[in-house]
This record gives sequence, C-alpha cells and structure tokens, in this order.
Amino acid sequence: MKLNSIRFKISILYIVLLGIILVIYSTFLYLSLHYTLYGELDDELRIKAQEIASTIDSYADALDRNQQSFNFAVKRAITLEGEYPDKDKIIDLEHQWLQKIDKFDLKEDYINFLNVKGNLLVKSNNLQGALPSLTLKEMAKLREGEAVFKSIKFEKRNLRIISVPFPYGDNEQYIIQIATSLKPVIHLLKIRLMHIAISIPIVLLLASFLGRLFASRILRPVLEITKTASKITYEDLSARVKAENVDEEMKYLVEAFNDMISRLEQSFKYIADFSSQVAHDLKTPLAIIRGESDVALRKKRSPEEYKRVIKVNLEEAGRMLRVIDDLLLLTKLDYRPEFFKFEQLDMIEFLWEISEQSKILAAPKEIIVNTNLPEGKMVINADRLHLRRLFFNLIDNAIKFTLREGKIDIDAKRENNKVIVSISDTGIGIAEEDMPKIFDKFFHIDRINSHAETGTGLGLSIAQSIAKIHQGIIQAKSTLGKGSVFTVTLPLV
Amino acid sequence: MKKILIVEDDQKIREIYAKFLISEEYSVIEASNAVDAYEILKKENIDLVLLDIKMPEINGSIMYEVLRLFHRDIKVIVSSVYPLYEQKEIISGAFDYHDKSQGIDVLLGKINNALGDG
Repeated sequence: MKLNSIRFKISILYIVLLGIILVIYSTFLYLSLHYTLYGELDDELRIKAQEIASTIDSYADALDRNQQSFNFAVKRAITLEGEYPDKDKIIDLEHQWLQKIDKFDLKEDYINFLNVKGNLLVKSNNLQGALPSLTLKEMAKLREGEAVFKSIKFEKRNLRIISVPFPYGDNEQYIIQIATSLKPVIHLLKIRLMHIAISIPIVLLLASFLGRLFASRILRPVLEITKTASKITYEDLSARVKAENVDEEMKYLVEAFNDMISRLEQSFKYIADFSSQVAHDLKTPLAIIRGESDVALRKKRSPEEYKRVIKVNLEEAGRMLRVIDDLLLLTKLDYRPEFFKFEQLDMIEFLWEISEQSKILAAPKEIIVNTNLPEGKMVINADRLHLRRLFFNLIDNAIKFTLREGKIDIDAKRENNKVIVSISDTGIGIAEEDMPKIFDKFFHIDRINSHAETGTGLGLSIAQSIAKIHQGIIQAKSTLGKGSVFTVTLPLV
Repeated sequence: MKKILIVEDDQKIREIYAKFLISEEYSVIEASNAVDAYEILKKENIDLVLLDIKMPEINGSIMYEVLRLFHRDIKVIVSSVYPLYEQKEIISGAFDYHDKSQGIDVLLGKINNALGDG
C-alpha cells in the first residue's frame, strides 16, 4: 500500500478517528463506573453511620439518657465492650446491633468517635492509632451539618472515610467516622481499565482491516474507470464503465466519465468526417484537372483548345490553394486566438469604408448598395484585417446570389451595449431545409449553378469563426426568391 | 451504339466526361442528381451507369440499391473521389470502381471492358 495512496490515507484517518472516539468513550465508561462505585460506597457509609448513631441513641435512651449511659452506649456500640448493670434492658438492642454489625460487615471497618473539636473519644478495636485528623475545611463543613468523605491510604490500606456530625441531646455535637476498605472498588476499576487497554488496540486492528476493505470497495469504481480508460484508443472509443452496483457519489463520476468518452467519440467522428470532406473537396478539382488534361492529350488539338485546358487547370489549382488557405485560417481562428491583433476600432467609420468598396464590387452586376449608419462613434475591440474578411465574405455572398440590378443594404444600430450590423440583399434567398447547414464547412449552396463553383464553401464558416473570436455572433434569415439578411452582433467597448 | 448515363452532381466533371465519351463514340445522357437519373432510366434504354457517390439529398449508394432492384441488367461503374477500397465499402457488388483522380484513360478502359462483351 503506497504511502500517498487514497486507501492509505483513508485507513489512517479512519483509525485515528476511531481511536479518538474509542478513547473518549472508554474514558466516559471508566469515569461513570468510578462515579457509581464511589457513590454506592459512600451511600453505604452513610447508612452505616446512621446505624451507629441510631444505635447509640437507642442504648442511651434505654438507660435513662445520662452522661454515664451515653459513654457506655458509645463504647458498647463501637467496641462491643463495657459493662453496665441492668443488662436486661438492652439485651434486645444488643441482639439487634450484633445482627446489624454482621449485616453491614462493620467488623472490618475502622470506627472513630470524636468530640466536637475533633479529638478522639472512642475507637474501634481493630484500629491501632487514630484515623488522620480532620482539616479545617472538613470541620467547617461538619459544623454546617454535612457529611464529609475522603479517600486515604492508612497503614498500607486504601480506605474511604466518612465523617458525619452526630448531634446528641440539646446542644451536644459529636463526630462519627467510619473508614471502609476501597480494595473491591479499586480492584473493579483496575479490571475495567485493563479491559479497555486490551480491547482498544484489538478493535483498532480490526477496524483498520475493515477500513481497508471499505476503502477498496469505495475505490472499486475508480479502478474500473482506470481499466476502461486504458482500453480506449482513438480507434476504439466504444468502451464504457458500467454504472450498475455503484454507490451514489461514484455514479456521478462514472456517468461524467462515460459522457466525456461519448463527447470525445463525437469529436473524433466530426474530425474524421471533416477530413473526409476536405479530401473530397480537394480531390474534385484534381479530378477535373486530370480529366481535362487527359482528354486534351489524347489527340492533336488546336492552340485555343490547349489554352482553354491550361486555363481550367490554373483555375482549379487556384481553387485548391484557396481551400487550403481557408482551412489554415479556420484552424488558427478556432484554436489559436493569440494569433490576432486586437485594437480599438470605430464601427461607423469602418462600415463606411466597407460600403464604398462594396459599391465597386457590386458595380459589374449593377447592384445598388445602400448604407444606413447612425451618427457618432461605436467603438469595438477588433482585429481590423479579419473583421474586413468577415464583412467581405458576407458582401461577396450577397453580390453572388443577387441578380442584376438588385439591391444590397448595409445597416447598423446600437442596442444595449452591442452593435448590430445587417447585410440584406434582394437575391435568390436560401431554402428552409438548407438554413441550418449554411455555416457548415464546405457547404455549397448551388452545385448546379454553372460558374458559381469558384467559392471554397468555407466563406460563412470563416465568417462565423471570426465573429466568435470577436465575442460576437452571426445570424441569418432568408426567404426563397425574395432575399436574405445576415446580422452580425458585436459587443461594444 | 451503347448508351451511358452519367449521374454526377459536379457540372464541370460531368461535362468533361460527357464530351470525352461522346468523342469515343458512346451515346451519353447526363443527370445531376438521383431523382433526374431515375426518371431517365424509366424512359431510356441505358446500358451503363457512371455513378457518383457523394450527391446532395439522395446519394449514390441509395441510387445503387434502386438500380439493383429495378434495373439489374444495367452495368454500374462507381465513379468517385473516394479511394477505391472505400468505394467498395460504401457500394459493394458494382461491376467496377473508378477513382476520379486516376484520369480519363483508366475510366475509358473500365467502360470499354464493361460494354465490350455486349
């Protein structure tokens, strides 16, 4: 597994995240156990303290509640020692108390009975010394009537101590302390910690394994795409990635990929068609040259006949050269826009110039050129040379397809931030079924018309590409038999 | 005299072939598209069709199918600027194929061959 592969990154991320979550969760589990165990232990201690307090009270009550009986009660309850006459009065209490000691396991606990100042009065027999004395804070809390808990290490044992205020009589205050072993609690917590420590690495290991599996599954479409992509060559664009059984997000990738291939396939088909078209349109003039020359050389011909053949050959050769030049221009227009020099140009002045030259071109057919331009300036960013080419292509077409003594109008107007130029003619018009094709490369509108085949068929295609380079568009409208209007829209500066 | 129908949309080529074949003592009728050609086929007794492939509206391969179905006995020579192997892919089963850029002599040879056995 490579270090910078997606699979590796996903796995690492996944494991780290999972690790963090596990640690947080385990901490929570541990802490909650800690809280519960200590809480229960503390509750237990409260109950025990309560029992001792009530036992002392009961003893004292049974024996007339004087100082002597009080002392006896305390000693008896805590150490089970002490003599007192009239044992009959307390026999039941003794019995009960012994049972309670058993029930609460009080024998194992250390018990201290302190006076209000915190001095030890009575301690249980299992205690050698006194329990650690109370701090000022703890004394303050006790004075307010609250129980105080603390965990200590005493004589090598971990203990939990409760200190509880014990009010006696009208205004006597004592303190009962019970210390119980924390060993079971600590033991449980240790086990829990051990479990956590062992299980987290195991889970992470398992997760990393699963993570790798997941990553593989998710990345499978990517692998499929790679395999399919390598099957695709310019010859065979038919391969596609299957989109079934693929996750939602990957579906987009797969579909986008398949779409791209389809579009490429279309582009290649277009290029193949185009190349075929080019070959055809260059071979036809060659066929004519061949034909004429072959025929001419078969027999002895007159000088005029030879001259005619040579002329035809020159014409066709010229036509082929123009086709090739036009194609090169189209390539530059479509793929290398940096080839053009843009400068600021006033459309009005420019169109007046075009109009003057159009009149000269139209004169032989006695076609009238009307020009209708607004006042002022309309400035655009343009490559002058190529913009001239655009408009002369349109004018040439207008002249070519308009009969003698027809009319051509050149109009311009401003609309929003664009200039709209229309070239209209009263010519033969374009059939409706041809309209979508007129901007196609090599589209000749009249193969049947006798001498109109001097064009390369690329004029409108070139005009459209020039318009596009200038961020503009050309549109055409026509009525068969009445005429056509070509509209050029260009953005103003 | 054998009658040849030239079906070709490019006028210049059509005229060259027509003039040439007439000078070689063939009777020639010209058609610039498939529809006209079909009308002519109905009226005249044609021996050979010189068929172009790339024509507007109805192209040569469709015309060829029509010829095969309704005028089986007429020999067809496909004449186009496409290379020969491509012509054979587009129209298969014609009597012969001619690449226009090969020139008139070659064409004449093929026509003579087709109509020679009479």
